[in-house]
Amino acid sequence: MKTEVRKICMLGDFAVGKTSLVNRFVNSAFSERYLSTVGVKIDTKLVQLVDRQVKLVLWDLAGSDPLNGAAKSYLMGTHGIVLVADGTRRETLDSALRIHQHAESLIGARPTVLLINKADLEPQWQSTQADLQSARQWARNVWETSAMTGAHVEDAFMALAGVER
Amino acid sequence: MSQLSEDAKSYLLEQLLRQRPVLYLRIAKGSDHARCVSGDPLHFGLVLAADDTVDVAALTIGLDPSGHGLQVSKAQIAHGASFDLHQLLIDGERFLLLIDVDDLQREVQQAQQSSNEARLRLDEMSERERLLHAEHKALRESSEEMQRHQHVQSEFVRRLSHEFGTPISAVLGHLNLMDLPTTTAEQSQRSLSAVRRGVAHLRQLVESVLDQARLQNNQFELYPGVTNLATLADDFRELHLGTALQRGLDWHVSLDAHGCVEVLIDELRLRQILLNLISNAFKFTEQGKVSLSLRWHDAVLTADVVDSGPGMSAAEQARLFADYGRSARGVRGTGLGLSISREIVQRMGGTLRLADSTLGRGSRFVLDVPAPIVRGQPEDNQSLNQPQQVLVVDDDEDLRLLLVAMLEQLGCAASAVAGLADVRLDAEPPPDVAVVDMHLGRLDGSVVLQQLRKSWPNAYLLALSADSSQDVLERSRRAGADSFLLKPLEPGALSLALQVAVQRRAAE
Repeated sequence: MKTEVRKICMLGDFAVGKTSLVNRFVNSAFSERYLSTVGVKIDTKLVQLVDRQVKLVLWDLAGSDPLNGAAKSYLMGTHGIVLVADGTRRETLDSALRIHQHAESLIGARPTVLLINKADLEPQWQSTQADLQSARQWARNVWETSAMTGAHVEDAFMALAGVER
Repeated sequence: MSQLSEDAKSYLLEQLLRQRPVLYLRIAKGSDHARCVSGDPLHFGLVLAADDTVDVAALTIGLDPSGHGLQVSKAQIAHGASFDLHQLLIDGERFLLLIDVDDLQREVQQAQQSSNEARLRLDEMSERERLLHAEHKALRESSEEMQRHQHVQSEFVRRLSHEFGTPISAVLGHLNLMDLPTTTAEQSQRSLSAVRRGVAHLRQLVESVLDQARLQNNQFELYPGVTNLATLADDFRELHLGTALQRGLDWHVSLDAHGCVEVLIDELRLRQILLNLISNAFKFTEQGKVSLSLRWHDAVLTADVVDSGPGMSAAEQARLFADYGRSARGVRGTGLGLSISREIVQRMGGTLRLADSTLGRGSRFVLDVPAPIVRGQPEDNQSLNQPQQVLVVDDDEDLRLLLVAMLEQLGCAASAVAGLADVRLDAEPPPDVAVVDMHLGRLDGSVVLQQLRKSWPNAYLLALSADSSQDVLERSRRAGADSFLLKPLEPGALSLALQVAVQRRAAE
């Protein structure tokens, strides 16, 4: 059986935890240290779905300037988008929405999941239930994740892996 | 620019390749794999398979097969070096060229890292500033609230010192007068009366202030006891008769007790509240009448205090029950009377309200307080004209027998059980009345009452206890009891309580 290859792009503001989420999903590891990504980091993970095997190619895009000229070359061939916001920084939810709209204008609509990350710091969250409710209107799947504890990380990636093209 | 010689070109290439390692791959047609032409795949995080090919799906996915030149810049695979990805189309074949840009990448990364960290710190600082502002605002508001409270308190103290000052000066003045050798016996007698009035007033002031403090500090307690309603009415009639005569006012006290003789209530507090209402009525009424109507029915004592005084404006009515909400008519007092009275009535489980007030016509205050019957009139100890199904829940066998006998005397069909486990909650029809002891061994009677209230919403529930403390009374009320009976049980009280139950049923 031929393995299906799917390209997933990680998008979101800087320091929201995109690289950490990939690291948790691919290597089951976490580091407290913040290391900003430049350009794009590429990782792969084989996942087994009920009826087939899928090779997820994860393109983790730099958050600092995700809308620069190189953005389109990174996004080409993307099957799905993992959009990440940081629950402790309310403005990152707005950035996520902006980045998502920009990505759609470049490559068209793609299946998207929204991850509100840093659930382990929930007492410090600035995002309110109302924010999350309104986010649900533009992202089909919203997960509250923690790259530190691993909460819902697998669920979020697998939800996207299983979406039909 | 002059042309480079072949030697120079080859030297230059050697230098460039030394500084910037490259990987050159030929993509097999229609495949995700490529054959390594030159360079080390591992340097870029790619793994060379046993058949000398490299899986390049992660790189070529989304790549335009006809694109020539730079495709993706600043990419990195796992722990490999950062690279720019070029695609070359030569003689109908696709090649991938990965050029190491790790040194450039590191510089950019460091600059970006510093910039991002600075922005995060800035965000954190703005958030802290926002929180500080919010805290500051809350502090300022609470300080303003405290200032307002202090102002009210100091106004109260100022008024108190005035209120205390007046009778104290009068008392001292009259005592000095009595000391004078020239004072006649008649004058001394008048002064003595004035001293008595002054001291009584001072005592009243002190009591008000102490009550207010007890209520504020939650140290206020009620002591329900057996109270005779007729005595209460007589005492009030006597107490104000002199004032009424002196002032030329009509003073009328009535009692409609429906056969109830004694009730369970904190008599001292009830008297204090009634006294306050009646004194106010006398204070304000210049002509006409003042009346007190007491009525007992269905375990509630109602007192109506009516006067034909000046009445109150809407504004006066609105601040009537506020602390220190004294009427503006220059009448003496701390202004605590009504607010304290209402607070005490609420603690007794009742209500105190201004039922009616019209300018120029007078006012009517109505007090309702729970007052369980303790003793009824002997002639009421007779069979009910409508027999009731009564269930007794008591853990003491002798008391069960006694209660059943008393109930049967009254013409009821009575049965008794020792605890909740023996109660048939699905009994059809459910009993009309249940009498529940509040102390069922280890079980609290209020638990039983709650369960019965839930299962039999229309039954008349009577709590029974030898303990008449406010705590037991309140617990029985909260658990859903309609009334309370005090042990030892008096037949007249039981009879009256059952009559109320019959009336309730008839009204439903």
